[in-house]
Formats: sequence, structure tokens, C-alpha cells
Amino acid sequence: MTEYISPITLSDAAVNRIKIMIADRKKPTVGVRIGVCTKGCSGLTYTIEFADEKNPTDDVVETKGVTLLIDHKATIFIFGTEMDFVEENFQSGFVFRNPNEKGRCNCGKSFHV
Amino acid sequence: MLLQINEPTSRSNKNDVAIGIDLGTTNSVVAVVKNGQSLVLRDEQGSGLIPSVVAYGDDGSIVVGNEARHELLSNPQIVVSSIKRLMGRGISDIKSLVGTLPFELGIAADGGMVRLKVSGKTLTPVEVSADILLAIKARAENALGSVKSAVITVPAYFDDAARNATKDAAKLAGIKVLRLINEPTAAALAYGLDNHVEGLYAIYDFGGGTFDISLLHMERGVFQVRATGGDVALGGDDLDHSIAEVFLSERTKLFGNETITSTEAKQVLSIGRMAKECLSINSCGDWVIKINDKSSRHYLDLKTFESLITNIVERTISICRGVIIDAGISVKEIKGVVLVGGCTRVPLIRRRVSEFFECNPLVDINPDEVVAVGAAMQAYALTAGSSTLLLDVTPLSLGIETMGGIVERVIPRNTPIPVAMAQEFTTYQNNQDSMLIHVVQGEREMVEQCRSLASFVLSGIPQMVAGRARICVTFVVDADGLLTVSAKEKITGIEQEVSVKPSYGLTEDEMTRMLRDSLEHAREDIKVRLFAEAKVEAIRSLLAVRAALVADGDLLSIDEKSQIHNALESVESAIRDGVIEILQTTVATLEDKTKIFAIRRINRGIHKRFD
Amino acid sequence: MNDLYKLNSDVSCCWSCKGPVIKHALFCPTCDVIQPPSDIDHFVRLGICRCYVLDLSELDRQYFHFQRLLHPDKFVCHTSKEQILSQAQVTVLNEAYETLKNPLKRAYYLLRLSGCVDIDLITKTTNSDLLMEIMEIHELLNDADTVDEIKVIEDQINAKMILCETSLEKAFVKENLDIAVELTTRLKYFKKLFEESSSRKIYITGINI
Repeated sequence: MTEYISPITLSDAAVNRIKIMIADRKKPTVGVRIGVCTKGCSGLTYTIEFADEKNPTDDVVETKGVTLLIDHKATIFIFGTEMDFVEENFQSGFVFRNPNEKGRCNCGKSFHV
Repeated sequence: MLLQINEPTSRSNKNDVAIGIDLGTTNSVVAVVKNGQSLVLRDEQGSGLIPSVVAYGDDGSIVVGNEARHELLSNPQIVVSSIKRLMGRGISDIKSLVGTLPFELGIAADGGMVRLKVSGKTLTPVEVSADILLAIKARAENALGSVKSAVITVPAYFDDAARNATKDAAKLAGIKVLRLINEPTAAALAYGLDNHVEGLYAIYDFGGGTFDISLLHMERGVFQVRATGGDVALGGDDLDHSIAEVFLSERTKLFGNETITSTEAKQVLSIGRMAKECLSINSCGDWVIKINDKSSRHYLDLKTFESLITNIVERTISICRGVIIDAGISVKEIKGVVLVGGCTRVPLIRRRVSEFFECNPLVDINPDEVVAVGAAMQAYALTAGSSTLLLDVTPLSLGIETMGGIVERVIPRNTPIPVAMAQEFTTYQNNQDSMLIHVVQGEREMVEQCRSLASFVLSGIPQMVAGRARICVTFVVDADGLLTVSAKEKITGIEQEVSVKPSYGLTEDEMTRMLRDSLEHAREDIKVRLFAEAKVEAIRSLLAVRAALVADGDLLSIDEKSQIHNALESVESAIRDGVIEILQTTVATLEDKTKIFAIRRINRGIHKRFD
Repeated sequence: MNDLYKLNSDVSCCWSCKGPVIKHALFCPTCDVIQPPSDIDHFVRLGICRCYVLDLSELDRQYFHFQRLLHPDKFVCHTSKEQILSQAQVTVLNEAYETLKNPLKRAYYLLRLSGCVDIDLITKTTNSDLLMEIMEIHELLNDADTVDEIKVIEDQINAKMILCETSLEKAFVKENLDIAVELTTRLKYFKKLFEESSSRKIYITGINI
């Protein structure tokens, strides 16, 4: 067996949350697609979407029973990150902990590597 | 900032492609870059050309392209062609063209842009161009799906008024202009990227209505325009015209003096065009003209044709010579010359160009399509990102009128854009409290020989001795080549800015009205679509309720049943009436009236399963 | 951390993400967004050293480099604020390039940087020797009837201009402003003569553009 390094890891909290959300969606769902888009003040920002179908350009990562589809363009930005789910006082959501990231803008929405 | 998982976004934005449009005097072409390949969009016959001809039917119909060109022979009074020659022009500009432009011309009360009268309508050149652009957009959408933005090309020598008019036309046609680029630059882009040429190149662009010559330096993906020149009132149409003149004078010999209507003039001109196209391939030909039931046959050979047009061709060559001198280079430094425009198929033109530039011209890209291909490449580069860079210049000097009608240049021609330059002026009378700022474009010394772009008054200058006030006039030309002028009195800081809406352009009001009209059409289109969607939904509900009534009708009382039947009928009649609001209300009523029915049906289903 | 920025006057605040931006930076190091043009001299803007004689191909290289980063075409899909800033950046970049590319404008500019004001006035000559020299060439030009004759005169003017330029370099290096002004004046008059010869050439070839 060749050693396979997953480009992204998921925390248990993230796995649980994704499973709940997919179940709540009540629609056939292939998985969750992660991409980057050039918005936000730092140029790049992550996007997370439900995926109805797999695109040929997606990199597929199966981990802990969750299917992640990573938009090919995003792979290089996402490589080595951990996706976590956090709950704060007034909001909850996903964060990417990125060892490649050099800077993050003050609004926290975008980053550059 | 914490991220949420979203529903998939519609990818429609990504499918929106940006196209390249060559909006030509005689023909227009549209192209796109897809999967790294440039592609000219063609009709079923394989032609990439859309004749820039519009026919306005008495019934309000608008036909563009080949069909409209056919009308030119049978029904010429409803057809508008060569409209590009009138873009941004006032009536005084086109007096010399009146013979060659077979429309009835009108002029607005405010002395602005030329108007044409066709089929009982009064149209501006901007509106006619918008109609052509709509046809281009339709061809593109047919092939590509949604198209919202484009790079549109203009002759390098187009002045500010004509550039603004082009942008306005695109706005009317619902096209977002990513950038206006110069036609020769677009052609160079098409060659430079496909053939990896480097060095100094000349682009000889002899189109239907304009002649341009540009010198470009290409090096490692940078396209730098060094100099440009041309004549906006010199084009292939003039070649047609000189043939038509000969044919008409031959007729005069046969039949004596004839009075010819503008309609007949159009017919003779289009025969002239056919003769020119024929003589670009063959060595002779003959043509028949039929006016007032009198037919005449006209023979023309290549030699005679060349002698007819030699003056026009030599004029283009001397413009080339001037631009080269202006750029301070010699012909030997030019590595190649690119031919653009259908007229460059005329053998005499090819011969003279290769003699003058001392090299064989580049013709491997179809000269009719090369501009659109370059525009498409630029559209792609602008939206998808690219390492190429286009550095363009102002084609004509910009200045303001000073004492005695003399032009003071503020931005000289061939200055790289975007550019901002300021010049100081002063008052010439004691206590002068206002100053007329008259903006002109052109190379001549006197105001009346240049083109007037706009004028405005800087008022509120404090009372001072003549020559004391310091009025700083700033000209800003943006990346599209469009000018904004502002004036400021430095001592007091009084400031006024005008975005130069040219004297011969559309006024803000006219533009607003036209946009509103076109939006109203759009709103109607949307209404039609929304109704179609609602209708599909309504029919689906009708069928479902009817099927349920058949299956479980016994669950309802007679009164309930009749209420549902009434609701069904009103939905049906609303579908027939075609009013979306009524349809929506009746569908809502139907849903309301069937709620109880639905609950009872669910209950029955549960019982059936468990009983 | 934040206090550090405040202490340093060379650091300002990014208009977009409010992060720290070193003065004169074209882009914010944090969010990569284009910044407004700063008030720097043309040499600094183009990243070349301040002297009179320039390597023109180096100038072109630097100009293209900055154009690639800043040109409005690169910002078509960005926000309108970024488009405005890109236009502002390239406008000053073009001004810098046009000034430094042209030997006469470059001389004017260096004089201005050295503190000279009203350059039009100080470069008006009263030197009768120069005026005589100019008049003579002017006469020659008016008498020339062929393009070839004009070309010979142009070569003469060119040689004089090149001489001016090499001397100007020395004057600026030595910070000898009086001589620099004198040489700039000479250059100005020869440049005018050269323009005259160009229009004469166009006139002779019988065209008018």
C-alpha cells in the first residue's frame, strides 16, 4: 500500500457537525466542497458548500466517514490544513487552521499563503 | 470569522463569457477565446461577418445583417448602413459625406448629434449601433449562453466623441464594456500571441470607413503603441464610391442627366462594392445598373480600377510616412506589417504597402476577422488574467482654446494612457469673474480646424487684475481613452469638473430615456419568462388536484368539492388570461382550498397502513 | 506589536484591511490590495538610480515591470475603488516614464529636484553665440529642398544634442547647477530645431497629418 497523505484533516467536532448538517439537508448529498475564491480584503477566502454531484476537477478526500470534495484550484492553498468546528458565545462555524498561511487580514475572512 | 456550509452557488457567473467585438463600418465580427483557442462565431453558412446594416420595417421590425443587406437592393429606403461613420459626429462634420450617406439626415434642436430619418423614425447613430450590437450579442448567446461583457474595438483614430458614442451604444444593448481597445492594437495582439513576433511592427488597417496606421513595439508579452495616425473619413466606402461615380458618369453619357434619389444612390454604391470585391480576385468584370427602367452595362478592368483608386491609396501611404517621421524612426526599423480590413485584399494596396514597408505583409489571419480575434484575446486576458500587457496612447492631441482661437495643447498625441496633465491659464481682463473652457482635439493650431469636444464655464473667479488669477485645467484620460476635464482657480480653490460629454454625443437625458426604454423592454421580457414558469407550476397543481379528486373525492363534502372546482376553474382561466399576478393569486387560493383535503388524504394513508 | 507601527512614521494603514503598510508600498502585505500612489520622485517610482544618463533599456524593463503589476487591465474584475487606485498609480507611473525617457524633460526634472523653479524662464537664452548658432541651422533648414538634405542637418543637430547630454551628466554629478541650466537651455533650443526639421520633412514629402 502506498502511503497517502491527506491534504486536509478534520477535527472530530467538524466531522460530527458536517454529518448532522448533511442529514438535516434532506437532499441527496455527495459531500462537502471546499474551494477558495478571490473575495475578501486579503484576496483569497475559503468557501464551503454542499455538493450535489462530483466535478471532474475535484480532489476527493474521504476521512472519518465524511466525503470532502476539494476544488482542484484550492488544493494547493488548503494542503496541510485542519478543518475544525468551533462554537463561540454567539456563533458557531468552521475554521481552517493553516500552517501555510503567512498573513491574515484583520477581518479574518481572507488570507494569503 | 467562522464559515458556514452554504448551498451550492449557481455557476451561471462562471459560464458568463467575455467576448470580443469588432464593430465595423461595413461588417462586424464577434469572437471568443474558449479552452485557450480563439474562435470566430459564425452563421450556418460559415460566415463570421455580420454586415453592419440595419433594416427598419414600417411595422417596427428591426433586421440586422445579411437580410438587411439584401433589403438594400430591393427596399433601400428602410436600410441604414455605414453608421459608424456618423458615430459622435455633428451635422457640420459630415457635410462632405452627405453624398456618400444615402439617409435623410436631421439634427436635434440643440445642435447635437446627427439624426437619421428612417421608416418614420428618428434615430441616432448610437441607437443604430446598439441594434447591431444586439444582433452580435444574440449570435454570441446562441453559441455560448449568457454573455454580459465584451471588449469592443474602435479605430485608433476615433476621437473622444466617437468613443463615448460607442460605449453608449453598448450600454443600450446591455453589454458591459470591459475595455475599448484600438483596432490595430487588437490585430497586433492576435498576431503577437499566435506567432510570437517581437520587435517593431506596423499595422495597416484599411477598413470600410476608416484608415489607421499604428506602430507597435512587441516584446515579451508587452504591446506598446509607439505612434498612431489615420483618417476617420477614408475607407473602403470611398473605393466603392469612386467606382460608382464612374458608372454614373457612363450613364450620363448614355441617357443624359438623371436625377437620382438617395435610394438609387445606395443601389449604385452597393454595385460599386461588388465590383471592388470582384476586382480583388479577378482581373475584370461587368455589372448592370437599372434605374428608372433604364438598364446600363458597365465594364471595369483591374487596370482602370487601380487608376481610379490610386489617389486614395497614395493618401494612406503618405499618412504612413507621416506617422513614421513623427515616431522618429526609419522604415528599415520596422520588422513587419500586418494587414487588417477587407480592403487590404485589393491587389494595388498590397503591392503599395509591401513596396513602402520593404517587406511582405503578414496576412495569415483573415484580415476581416483578425481584429475580433484580438479583442476576444483581450477580453479573455481581462477576465481570466494574463501576462500580456497592452500599453496604449492618445491618438490625437487634446487642448483648450486660448486668446484669438489658438489651441494650447495640454496632452500631446501619442502619450501613454492613462494620463493626467495640468496646464495653468490666466484671465485676460481686469475683474474677469468667469472663464470659458473650450476643450478641443486635433493637431491643428487653430480652434476651428480642430474638433470641438465640449465647453464649460468656470465661474466665481474672484475679482483680480488681468493675468493674476491662476486657473489650473487638468485633463485626465482613462484606460479606455476617455477624457475628463476639470478646472480650478488656485488662489481661491474654486473647482469645476466635467466629464467631457462631447458636443456631438448624446445628452445625459437622451441616454437616460433610451436606457429606460430598453429596460422596459427587458422588464417585459422578464414578465413573459416569469409567467411561463408560473404557468408550468399551475398546470402541475391542476393535474395533481384532479388526480387526487378522482382517487379520494369521497373525503369531501359537496360544498367543499364545489369550492375546489371553482378554484380549479379560476386557475385555468388565469392561465388563459396570461396575467401573472392573477395566476399567482388563483394558485394560492387553490392551495388554500385544498389544504383540508390534503390533511384528510394523509390521515387516510396512515390509517390504511396501520389498519 | 501595534505600538511598534505607531512609532514608525514610515508605516501607514491599508485602506482595505487596516493592516500596516510600509510607506510607498504598492500593495498591502497583508491583504495584497493595491494602495494609492505615494508622493515619491520619478526615479524612486521606477526603481532606478538618480542620474542624468540612463540605461534606456533598464528604464523600459522597470516600466514594464510596474505596468504588469499596476495596469488597469489587471483590475477589470476588481472593485471600483481598486480600479480607481490602479488608474491613479499608472497615471503617475506614465508621467514618471515619459519624463525620464525624454532627455530634455529629464534635465528639467533634475533641475527641479535640485531646487530650481520657473525653469521655462531660466532656460530662456540671452546668449548671442547660441542664438547665432541656432539661426544658422534654421537658415539651412529653410533652404533644404530634399529629405536627404534635411537628414544631413538632422545628423548635425543630433550630434550637438548628444554632446549636450554627456556634458549635462557631468554637470549634474558635480552639482554645478549654473552649467546644467546653460546646457539644458542649449538642449531645449536644439530640440526645437529638431522638431522643426521633422515638420519640414513632412512638408516636403507633401503631406499634412
